[in-house]
Amino acid sequence: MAALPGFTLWGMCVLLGGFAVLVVWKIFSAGSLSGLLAGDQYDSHTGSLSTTDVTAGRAQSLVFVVYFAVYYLIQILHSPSGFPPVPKSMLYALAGSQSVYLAGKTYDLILSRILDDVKKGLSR
Amino acid sequence: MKARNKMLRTISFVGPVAMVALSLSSVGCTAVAGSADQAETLLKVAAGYLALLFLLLYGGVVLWKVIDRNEIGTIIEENGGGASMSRFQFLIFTFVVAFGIVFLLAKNNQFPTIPADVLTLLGISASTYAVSKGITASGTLPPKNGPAKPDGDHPEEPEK
Repeated sequence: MAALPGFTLWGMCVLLGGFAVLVVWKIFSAGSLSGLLAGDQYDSHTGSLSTTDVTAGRAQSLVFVVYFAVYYLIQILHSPSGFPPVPKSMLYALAGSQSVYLAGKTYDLILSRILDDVKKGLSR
Repeated sequence: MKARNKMLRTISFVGPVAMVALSLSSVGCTAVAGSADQAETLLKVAAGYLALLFLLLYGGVVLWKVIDRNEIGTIIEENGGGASMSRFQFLIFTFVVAFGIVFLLAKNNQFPTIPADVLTLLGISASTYAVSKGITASGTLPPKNGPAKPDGDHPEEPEK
């Protein structure tokens, strides 16, 4: 019975590690990292979406997510029993970071188009 | 449809096999053990190993299929191609919590209590993904006077 938790840990580590390695390999090999940072933007001249190289909202979100994940993973590894508490300030910061990312995306994809329509309507 | 039928056949095969294996192990435990307590302990161990084996085999097959079909990109990519930040962060936080549960389970030999903070973290992550999906769907709708765009987080650039 004593060996069962050890087998479970190693088995799950192999599975989760396998998925994690595949995802990391995919991100770095197929240019998906630049895809994570790139975003779509409404182009008022052509009236369609165009892809930008890097958006600030995505960049700050990526940095914060990676920092938060690594920080909490280290906390779990050093925890004697149970999940360690997540600092409230970090949760608020994460929520703020994601809100900024979503707000930027909303502006790029929806609001800029609406504003452009309004401007065209006013100029007529 | 074929893949679905194949999966259903596999499940309908694995389920009875697991039940038979568990029954055989219970009979074996009762025969080997001297008392009822020993038989119960042996049965628990056998059930634990069987569940672990089933889980690892299932996970291994999923992992192998993902590699075999080269579909790992679909985990972080949207329909139109290109990586999605919202999918990526959801995947990262799910990995962290999943690893934490397995690690603490193996360390303390009991299922860890998941605090409200961790559930809040997953809630923020999942909400971001859902809202991002909604924005993408709304933003890539064909405009009234413009060209239609394919669905996705980063649809391909328009032809010049």
